[in-house]
Amino acid sequence: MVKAITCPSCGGSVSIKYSDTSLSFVCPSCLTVISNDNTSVSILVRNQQLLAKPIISLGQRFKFRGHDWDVIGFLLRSDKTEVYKWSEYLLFNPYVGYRFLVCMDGHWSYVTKTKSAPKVDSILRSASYLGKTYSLFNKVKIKTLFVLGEFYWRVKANELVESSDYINPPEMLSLEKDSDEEIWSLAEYIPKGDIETAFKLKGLMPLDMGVAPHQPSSHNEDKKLTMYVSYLMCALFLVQFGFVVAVYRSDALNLTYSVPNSKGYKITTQTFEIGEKAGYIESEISALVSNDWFEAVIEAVEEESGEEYEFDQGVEYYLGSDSDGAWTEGSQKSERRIAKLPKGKYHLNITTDSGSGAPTNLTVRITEGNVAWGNFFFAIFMMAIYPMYYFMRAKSFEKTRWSQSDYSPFWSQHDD
Amino acid sequence: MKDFLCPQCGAGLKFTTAYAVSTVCEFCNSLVVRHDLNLELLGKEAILQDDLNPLQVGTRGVFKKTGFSIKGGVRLNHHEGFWQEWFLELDSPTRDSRYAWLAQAQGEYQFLFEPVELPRQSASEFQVGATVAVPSEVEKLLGKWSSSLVKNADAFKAIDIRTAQMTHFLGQLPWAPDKNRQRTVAELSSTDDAKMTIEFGSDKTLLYYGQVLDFEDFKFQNLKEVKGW
Repeated sequence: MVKAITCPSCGGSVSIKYSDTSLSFVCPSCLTVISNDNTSVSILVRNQQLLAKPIISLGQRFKFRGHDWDVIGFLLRSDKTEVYKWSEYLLFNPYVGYRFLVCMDGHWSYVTKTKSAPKVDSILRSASYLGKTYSLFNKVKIKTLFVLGEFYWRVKANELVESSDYINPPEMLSLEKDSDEEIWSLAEYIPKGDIETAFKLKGLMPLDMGVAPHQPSSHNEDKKLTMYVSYLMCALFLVQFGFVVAVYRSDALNLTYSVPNSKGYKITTQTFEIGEKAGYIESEISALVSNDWFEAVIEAVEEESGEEYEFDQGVEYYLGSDSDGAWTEGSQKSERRIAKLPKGKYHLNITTDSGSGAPTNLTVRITEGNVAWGNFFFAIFMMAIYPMYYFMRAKSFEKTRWSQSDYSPFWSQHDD
Repeated sequence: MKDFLCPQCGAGLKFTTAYAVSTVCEFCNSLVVRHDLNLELLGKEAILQDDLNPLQVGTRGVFKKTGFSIKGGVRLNHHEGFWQEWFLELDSPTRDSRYAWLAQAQGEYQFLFEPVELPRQSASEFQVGATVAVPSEVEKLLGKWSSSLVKNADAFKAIDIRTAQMTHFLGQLPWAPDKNRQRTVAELSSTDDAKMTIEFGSDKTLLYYGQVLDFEDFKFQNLKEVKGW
């Protein structure tokens, strides 16, 4: 198992912990990358510079996700420009195989090779794997800048690998394609606290910056609450609707009178009945006026007791045209909610007034069983505030996430 | 089952499964092939240093409720590493698969049914990206196993071809080991729940099909202890 080898570059002694399965390893003194063949060793990469120090020490064993893992390899990788860098740790367990731990901008992922190749849809820019669909996030060329430890493959120096990332938070599917093969892997976003505990990194954790491509939205809890509020809103609507149906609106009076002179004309309506319906009573008047105002002082008289209830109600309507075209203002119709009238027989005494006194037709309509919508809409509005706030915040989180992508759904590729 | 004695050392040989054609003598490590009642001695096997592998001859496991036990295996080396194939005796063999295989590479475990024969093709006329012609009766059999294989032309595309050297034989095997010990295999593009490989033999072309599962899924028993773990 453990094999001691003399470094072909510096002559130092290197021990390979898993010589049966590791195809390449790095001499800790001169950093030369060496190929471990069955019978011989040869140099793969010369003159590596010490570009980074792993924060998880190689050779140690940690428990994570129900298995023990030996941290056997470290890779410093970057994009083509070598500006954007991240670290990867190779984990090994002889029973369950290999995993990677990737740390990018302080965000951690636990990475496993997929069991089969996901199906890529280049039109929808998505990939599907085991019933889940992932959206294309980025296509970049990456390379490995520096390695330490041992690896189950032969490390290649300075080779550019084409990589494509597809996301469905908290997961990311990645394809790495080089001249020889295509490797798909599935990364799971791991909260940094879990990594800190499992790999004993207290005080060593790098600061997490920005939003990782597959970082789960921090608004998932809000999502639940929003769902409950939506249910409540639906329930409220059903109650309101049920009330409207149960009460049903009906006409007590609906008649049209001709008003020959609208200044001080008096009308007495026929007798009508007001019952004991739930809901309120509404008075609706309409008068055919133009460029004029019209007002009616209305007295509802209960015929048995002689009790009087007085209110006034008016309409005004203007129209004309200017440089912008035709315009109108006001309406020939108005509604007014009136105080609850006790059950009884009524008639109305109406006295009209208007600006011009022109003749008109007046329609008076008294309805009962009207259901108030104001409170309902107010309640809906109040309840909607939180989900709307949540929606804006969640959207802003998604915008931040996708701002790192060339395939953002939030804007077309032309305007950045 | 008839008792066979090792032509090299005279010890009793194990041919415990009906499909075994060769076996490695437990005492002297000779590789012995059975031709009906005659035995052929193929030479001595080198002992495989395989300390990190938890699987061994005698390990039992389960694939989708079918129990199996490892009867033998072969180690294959190529320039990018090695893999191991284990010959499995099934507790309940079927007509389509009298026995099975477990391929193991870089911590990945792949259960493969008894291969089906394809029209003979030579590896040299076959390249990465090429589509494999699959006769309809074979396609039907594969469709029975995995719905994702039915009418999925991509599934039969070669994504990797490699030639490997068989370096070690362990226990019993269902064929006589090839003396030149070369084997060329092509990996076909996988689908949601199916993996396939083609083996280009000297006299026949075989299609292996099956599935990759996690180590835990096989519920292995009688594993070899890995030192330090």
